[in-house]
Amino acid sequence: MNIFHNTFFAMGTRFDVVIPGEEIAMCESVYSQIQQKTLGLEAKLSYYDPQSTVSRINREAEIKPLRIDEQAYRAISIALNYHRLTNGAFDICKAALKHGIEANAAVSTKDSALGIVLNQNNQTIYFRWPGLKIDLGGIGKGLAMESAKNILAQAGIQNALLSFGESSVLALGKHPKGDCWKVGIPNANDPHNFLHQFQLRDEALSTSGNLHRNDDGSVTEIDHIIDPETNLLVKKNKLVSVRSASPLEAEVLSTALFVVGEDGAEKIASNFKQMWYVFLG
Amino acid sequence: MNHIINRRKFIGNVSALGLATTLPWMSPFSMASNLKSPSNLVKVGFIGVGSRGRTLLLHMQQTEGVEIAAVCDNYEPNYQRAIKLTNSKAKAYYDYRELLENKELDAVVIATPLHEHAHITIDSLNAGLHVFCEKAMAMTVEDCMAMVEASKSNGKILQIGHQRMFDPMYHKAMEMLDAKQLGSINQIRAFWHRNNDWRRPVPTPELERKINWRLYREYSLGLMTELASHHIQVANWVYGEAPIAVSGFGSINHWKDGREVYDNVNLVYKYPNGKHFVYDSMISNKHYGLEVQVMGHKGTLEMETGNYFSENPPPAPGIMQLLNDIEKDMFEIIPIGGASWVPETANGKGGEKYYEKKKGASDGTDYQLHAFAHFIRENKTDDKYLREGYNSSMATVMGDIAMRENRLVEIPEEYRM
Repeated sequence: MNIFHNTFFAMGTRFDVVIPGEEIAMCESVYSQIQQKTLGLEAKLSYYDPQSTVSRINREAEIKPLRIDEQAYRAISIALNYHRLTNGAFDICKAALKHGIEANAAVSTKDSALGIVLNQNNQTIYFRWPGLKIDLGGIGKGLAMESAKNILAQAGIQNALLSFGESSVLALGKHPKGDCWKVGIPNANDPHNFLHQFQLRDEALSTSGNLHRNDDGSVTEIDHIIDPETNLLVKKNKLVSVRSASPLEAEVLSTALFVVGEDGAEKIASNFKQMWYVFLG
Repeated sequence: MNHIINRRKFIGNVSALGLATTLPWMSPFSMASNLKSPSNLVKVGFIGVGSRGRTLLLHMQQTEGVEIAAVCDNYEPNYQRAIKLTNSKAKAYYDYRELLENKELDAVVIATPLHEHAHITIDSLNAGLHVFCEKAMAMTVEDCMAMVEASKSNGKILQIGHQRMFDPMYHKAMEMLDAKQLGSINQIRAFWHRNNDWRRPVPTPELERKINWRLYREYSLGLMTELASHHIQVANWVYGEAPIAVSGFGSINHWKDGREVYDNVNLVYKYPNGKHFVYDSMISNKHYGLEVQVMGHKGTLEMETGNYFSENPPPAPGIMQLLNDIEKDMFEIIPIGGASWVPETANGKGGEKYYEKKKGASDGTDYQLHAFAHFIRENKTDDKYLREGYNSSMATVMGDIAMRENRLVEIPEEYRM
C-alpha cells in the first residue's frame, strides 16, 4: 500500500502529514498546498517576524485604525470570540506578556482584550489603549489545521493523520488496519506508559502542557502560557487534552483549560457542545 | 616538561575529536613510539620563512620527533628572523641549492612565493628529500605534473599544504557526507571575501615585487592560487573527483594600483554528472567573509563555520512508529501528544552547529605537519593527499586560464588525477 509522509518546519515546530492508500502524486500536491497555506498563515500571524501583520498591528494599531488583510482580521475576530466563550481564559493580549514586554497598564489590566476595536466594514483594527500588544500563537496552529482539513476534504482524501508539533493531531477516517486512529499521550518522563489513550475518527486532539519531550528522550520544561488572572506564566506541571471535531476549537480550548485548571474547566466546557477533555498527570 | 604537556594535550584532543578513526596514524599507538630516539627523529629544512613559512615553522617546532635543522631565505629580514626563531640551532642559508647539499636532512618544507615552488620542489625530491610544499603547487599544469612525477620517480613523499584535510571540523563534515546525510549533492558554493588591498608594507620601492609577489603575474595567479585553491580542494574532496570544465570572469575593479592579478573573480566548475561548484572571491567587500556551502536535497552544510541546516525537520518519533506499523500491517497505539515539539536550535528552521570550534583550536595546520613527519618515519603516505593537492592546483590554474582567455575551458582526462 502507498503511504505518503512528509514533514515541514512551521510556526517554530514541525508539521507531519501521513496519508495512506492514495496516489503519491496527489498526496504531494495536497501536502504542498497544506505547507503553503500554513507558511502563509505564519507569515501573517507571527509575533517574531517584523514583516508580519501582527508585528505591524503591534507597532501601529495604537496610533490609528489599521486596515489589515483578511486572514489576520479573521484570526483576531475568532480569537476574541473565544475570549468571550472561555470567560477570558483564552487571551491574545495577555499572551504577549510571555515575550517579556513591559506589563504596562494596558496589557495587564484585567480585561485588556476590550481594548481591541475591530471594524468589520473597513477591516481595521485599533488599540484603544496605548501599549497593547497581541500574540496569536495560541490560535495559529488551530487555524492551520483547520485549513489542512479543508484542503484534504476538497481533494477527497478520507483517511489521514496530521500532527502539528505533536501537541495538535488531526485524525481523519481510519488507520489502514483499523476503524479509527489509536493515539496515546506518553508520560514525558516514562514514554512507555501512556497517560491516556484515544481512539480518534474524524476528530482533532490538542494537548497543552509545559513539559517538552525531545526526540532524544530528554525532557525540558518550557513555561509558555500566560494566566490572564495573574499575568504570569502558568507553572503547573500537568497536561490537558481536548478532543473535538474542530481542530481550531481543540487547540484554543486546550490552552484555556490549561490556564484555568481542573476546577475552572467545567464552567468553560459548558459553553461548547461537542468537546471532551481530560486532565492528565 | 613543556613537551609532555603538549603531547598529552594533543593526544587528548585527537581522541576526543574522533580523528584517530579518520586519520589512523593519529592513534595514541602511533604517538607511543619513542619519537625522541635518534632513529625516529625527522630532520627538516625550511625553504622560505616569510609570513606563511614562519607560521609553519612555529607549528613544526611543536611537532614531536622533528628537528628543524636548516632554514633558508634570500630576504635578509626573514633570514635573520629564522635564525632567531630557531635559536641559531638550525643552519642558515641564503640559497636553497646549498641547503639541499646538507646531508643531515630528511625533508624540506617549501613556503616560497608561488613561482619558485615547482623547481625547488623538483630539485629537493631529486636530492632525495621528502617535500612539504605550500599550496598552490605551481603556476602551470605542466609544472604541477612534473612535481608529481619527481615525487614518484624518486620514491619520495610530496605533500601539499591543504590544512582543511586535517581540520577536525572538516572531518566531522566529511563523516556526515559519507553517511549520505545531505542526500544528493549537486551544487557547492564557496566564497572568500576580504576588504583590503592585499598588500604587505614595502621598506624600499625596489622591493615591491619581491614583497608583494602575490600581486604580479610573474609570481602568482593572485586570488586563485593563494585563496581559491583551498576551497577548490574542498569541492573536489566532497565530490570525490576533479572538475571536467570551468568558465568564469576575472577583473581588476577596485585596487587599480598597478597590480596584475584580479581583485574580483567568479567561476563555475563543472564536475562529472553535471554537478557544479560556484566560486567567487573579491577584496573590496568583506560582509560575507568566507564560507563553503554544500547543498544536498536533504540538507546544507556550511563547512567553514560548522553549521548544518536540514531541509526538513525529523519526523515525530510517534509518526515514525506509525509508518513502520502500517508497513508491517500493525495497528498499535502511537505515542503522540504533549507540549509542542521545539527544534533543538533557536531559529526554528533546523539549523544546528555540528562542530563548535573553540577559539585558537587547530585549523589542521599542526596536524598536517604532524602527519608529514609520521609519513616520513613510515616512509609511506596515502596517495590521496597528493591527489587532492594536485587536482586543486590543476583546477586553480585552469580557472585562471578560463578567465584570462575569456572562454570555457574543458579539462582533459590526462589532467585529472
